[in-house]
Amino acid sequence: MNIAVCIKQVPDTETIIKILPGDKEIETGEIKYILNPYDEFAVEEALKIKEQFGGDVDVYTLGPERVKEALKTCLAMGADKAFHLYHDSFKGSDSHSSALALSASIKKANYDLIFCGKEAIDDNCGQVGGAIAEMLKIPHISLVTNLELDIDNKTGTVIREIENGYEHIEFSFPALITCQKGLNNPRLPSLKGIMKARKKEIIIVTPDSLGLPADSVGEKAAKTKILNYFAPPQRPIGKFFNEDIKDSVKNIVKLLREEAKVI
Amino acid sequence: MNIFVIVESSGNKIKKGTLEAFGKALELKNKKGGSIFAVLISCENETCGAKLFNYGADEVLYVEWPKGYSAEAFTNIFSSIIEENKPDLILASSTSHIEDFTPRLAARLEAPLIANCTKIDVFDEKLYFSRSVYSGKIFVKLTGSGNIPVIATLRTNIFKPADPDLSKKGKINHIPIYLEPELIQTKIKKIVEGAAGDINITEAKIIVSGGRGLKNGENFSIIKKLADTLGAAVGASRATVDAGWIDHQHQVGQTGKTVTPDLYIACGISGAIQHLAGMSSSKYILAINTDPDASIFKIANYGIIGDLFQVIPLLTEEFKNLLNI
Repeated sequence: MNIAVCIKQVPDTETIIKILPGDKEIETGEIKYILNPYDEFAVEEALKIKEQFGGDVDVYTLGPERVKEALKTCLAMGADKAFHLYHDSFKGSDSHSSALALSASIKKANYDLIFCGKEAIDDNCGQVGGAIAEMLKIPHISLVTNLELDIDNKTGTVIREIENGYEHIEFSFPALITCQKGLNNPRLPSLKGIMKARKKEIIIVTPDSLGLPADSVGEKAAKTKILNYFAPPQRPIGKFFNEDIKDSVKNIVKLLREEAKVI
Repeated sequence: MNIFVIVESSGNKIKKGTLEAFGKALELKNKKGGSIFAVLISCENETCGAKLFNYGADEVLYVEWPKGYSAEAFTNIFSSIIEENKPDLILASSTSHIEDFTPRLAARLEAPLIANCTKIDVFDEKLYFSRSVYSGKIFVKLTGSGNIPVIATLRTNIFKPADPDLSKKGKINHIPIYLEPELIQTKIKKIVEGAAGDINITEAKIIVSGGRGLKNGENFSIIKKLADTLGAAVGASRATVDAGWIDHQHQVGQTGKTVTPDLYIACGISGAIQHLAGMSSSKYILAINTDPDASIFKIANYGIIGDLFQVIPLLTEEFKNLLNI
């Protein structure tokens, strides 16, 4: 089974996001970056399949120099090769132009399965997976919490999350899966894994190497344009009660009914 | 401006999110003119088709599709209807099926897709969209790149649903469709529904949420009792989900769901930044915690500094009295 995994490096969940003056950029100086939590499920699932059936797991990402660290984490977890889509022209990519570049890169090899996280916790778009599947003309299922494969018949069954329930879906290879929390428990890279990762290849991919003209990547190929960032509205000062519990409860219920009018 | 509204229905009932999309479509139509097309893909005898005119549809395009939902089928069907009718804007509620196939549709049409919007404005001839990023920590304002159509999915509980106008009627257009079987490589074999009466947290107007302060999984029953009294959904912090006390579907936060209820009652939740990201857009927040320094109190409108095991049963009782239950 040859598997590709698309990953993204994102700010750590503890990060307090600050908007720079001008409202067009986020302050990045102090940010600690991590592998997108949903992509951890994707890498883990790919590695579990490799352990069971053999084959290779390749990871792909698009981003600046620093995203190499996220690739190294995946290689240390057990991935075989990493592809870093890295070039000035890729700057300003949105979901659409990211998917264009990633699918062009992934297309060069033959994968049975492609895994993505269900969304990146920085932009929360959740679109790149489905877009890559469309561009590669393969089926996809999103929000997967369980996966079983029938290698001989090249089919699989997944459980995917919907509002208040789950769907059980059958699919055939090749296919793309986006991973939801609950699919597995991602492994931490072992010391041995980190040592082995040092010898593994990170291949730099440029628009040229993909045969993509400059206007079909990055900002030039983006379908959406960010105008500005803004902070959520300031919340009012709260009313707190810490005296007699019965009184506190009566006061709160009164406020919810009469002031907030939500009950 | 011609607007498509993607209709989702269950039997005879139009889903709440679809009514919110109609509400927005009507508002935009009042500003810019044009027509609203309701598009319904269904195998259920168009039972809600006529109602779509009541909610603002000028035209109803009905596709009889017996094979149920699949991303490939819906992408193919919508792309052909869109190429035929050329709308300027496509609106849909941000539900799991919509978020599943719209990325494919957007890629197919090379159209802008702006997901989980919290605001849509029109100014001069341009549409402006707002949505949250970094799991709700900040917001961003965007436009499409100039291609039409723009596909926008709407976060639930933000947009006002359309009021029905029972005087409106119209004729349903049946759109024939044929898809080669090999175009569809996925098939739903089974649907498993959650516990009866479970309210989806992304649609709920009131959420009662439990955190580590509950001490064990059984104590979610206290939360459930209060939720049932209020007709509310049950939410949870990541710690409780990771401890196996409740299913991940209830998790609110950066690796769970982002919710926008009218009232969020946080019980025994300290207010870690990752949790706040998921619920800080709630209209009103009531926090119950023994720790007066808990971060949740920084964003709460109302708070009780006290033991939830005493407070919640008293709250439940007080609400029962108020609501005559």
